[in-house]
Amino acid sequence: MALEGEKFIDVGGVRTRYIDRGSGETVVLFHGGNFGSTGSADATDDWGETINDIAKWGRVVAIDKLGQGYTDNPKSDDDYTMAAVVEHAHQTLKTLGIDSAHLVGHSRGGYLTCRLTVDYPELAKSCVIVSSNTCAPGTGGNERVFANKPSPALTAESQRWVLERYSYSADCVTDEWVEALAAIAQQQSYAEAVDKMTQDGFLWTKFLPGLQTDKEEMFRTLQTRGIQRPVMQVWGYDDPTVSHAQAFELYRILAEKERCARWQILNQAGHFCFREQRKRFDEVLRSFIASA
Amino acid sequence: MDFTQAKFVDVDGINTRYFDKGEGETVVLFHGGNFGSPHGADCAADWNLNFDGLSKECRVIAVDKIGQGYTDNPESDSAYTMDRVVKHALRFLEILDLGDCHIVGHSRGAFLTCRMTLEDPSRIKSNIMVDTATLGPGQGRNHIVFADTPQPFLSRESQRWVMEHYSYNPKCVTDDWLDELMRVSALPKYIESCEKMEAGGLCNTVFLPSHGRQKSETFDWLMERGTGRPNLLIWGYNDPTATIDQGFALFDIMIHKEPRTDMHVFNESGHFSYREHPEAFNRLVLDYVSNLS
Repeated sequence: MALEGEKFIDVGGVRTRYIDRGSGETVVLFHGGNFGSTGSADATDDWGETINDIAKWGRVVAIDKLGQGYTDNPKSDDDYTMAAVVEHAHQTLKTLGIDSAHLVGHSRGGYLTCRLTVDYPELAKSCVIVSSNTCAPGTGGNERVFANKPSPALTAESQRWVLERYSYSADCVTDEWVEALAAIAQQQSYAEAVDKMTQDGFLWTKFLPGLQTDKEEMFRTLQTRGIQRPVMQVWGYDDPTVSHAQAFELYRILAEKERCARWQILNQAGHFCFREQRKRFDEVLRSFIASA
Repeated sequence: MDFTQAKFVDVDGINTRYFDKGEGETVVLFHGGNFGSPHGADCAADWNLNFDGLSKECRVIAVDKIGQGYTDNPESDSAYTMDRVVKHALRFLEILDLGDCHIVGHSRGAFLTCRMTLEDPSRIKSNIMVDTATLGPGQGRNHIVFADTPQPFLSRESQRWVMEHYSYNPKCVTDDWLDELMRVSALPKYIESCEKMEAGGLCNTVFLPSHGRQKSETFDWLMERGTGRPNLLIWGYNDPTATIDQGFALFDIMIHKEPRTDMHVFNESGHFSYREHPEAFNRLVLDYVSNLS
């Protein structure tokens, strides 16, 4: 199932799916999840109507991250890391000729935008971190929330269960979204990534340990030098995977060195707060970008 | 904000000063503090860094609450209550025939806007509350922060010290603001309200008890039925008096019955978050208001 206006671009040999619509300030969206996840096959489709909303007032670029959606898997086993995801995102922006933009990331994508901003400050006009325990210190609630998920994994039914568990209300989990993620998970390449991550154990030998080290490095920079760009955390009050304490701790770290650090709390919103409070999310994002 | 452009209206015998500028959605600003405060003569001028910016995209009204600024003092000793402040503000909306307005309250003014929304929401479209220990559960930290307020009270240096100690960045305490606070605190009626509240004891015998009773009733109402209007809480992360934890606790109470409640936090910001980040604050409020319309 194609996303409206989807395109492909070769990024150093990795065929990458993206969307580029609208005009005005450039806003780049990075979805959450990671390659070979057995919970849900997150992709640009996660953003739903948010893409249309932003296209009304800005240029919206949304990218399928490395090994997710319809973007190729990492080219080598060594690239099953978050660092490779960050580098692919960086190269994609370069290839698209985007020198400077407002970077918006959700969940694992929130870590990605924060990391891009820290590593390549010239690339970021501002940084928005949405519902991200990957970017925050401490432990997320995922293991508890998704224990006993229905098997077989990655079917439409199983993914629907996962997405509903993430959410305040099941209403935001539309058939269209579930079918799109189910189709992504059915690709041969997705199954290969699942095998690498679980059977071959890359999740525990490469991905998570690498992420842990990278996070410590990032927090060191955030606490010594600061992010040096306007930054906003958007957090859904009812997110079962990101606690208030965790969101507060991330905000503390961001605020320590950056004057323009803001935090928006959206009520009646779970992990996909932009789907559940669509209008409020769009308004706050637009407002932040206008004053960033 | 041009202080010479003040307007006056009679609100049930209380001559009331306000400023009114711009067109579009109506946003009414209610400042903090209370009549006869020996620390700072808060009034509509608290909003002087925001007023003109807001007026470019909406109709903005900033009013002096009863007994503050150039608005008359309460008519009797027994009217030195929070309830009188609420009644005066609700009548002000009525007499100006303001409908569908977004009310913004700061500090004690946020207790006021919440209470107005609970008592009579008929003219109110949304309730925006900024940095408030008066409404937040528990105690504010004012008695700690202002324990060493320099004397003589209400001198320029003393008021500057107070406002700077409320703030993260002392630069938000501007001279034109202090000029107006000094003019207000020199008014005979302000001096009279100070005498009543402090030497006369009305603060401890009338005002604070009236607020205490209303506060407890307000929480009952918030837990029973909620405001019935969208709420936005705005907080300065570094507010030394109304702490961020108090903001979170208030948020938990506000959402209990009114799901249309959000919270926004500004960094490097003390009690006057709208003075520390005037442009971003205005943008946030204007976008909030236009999205509800």
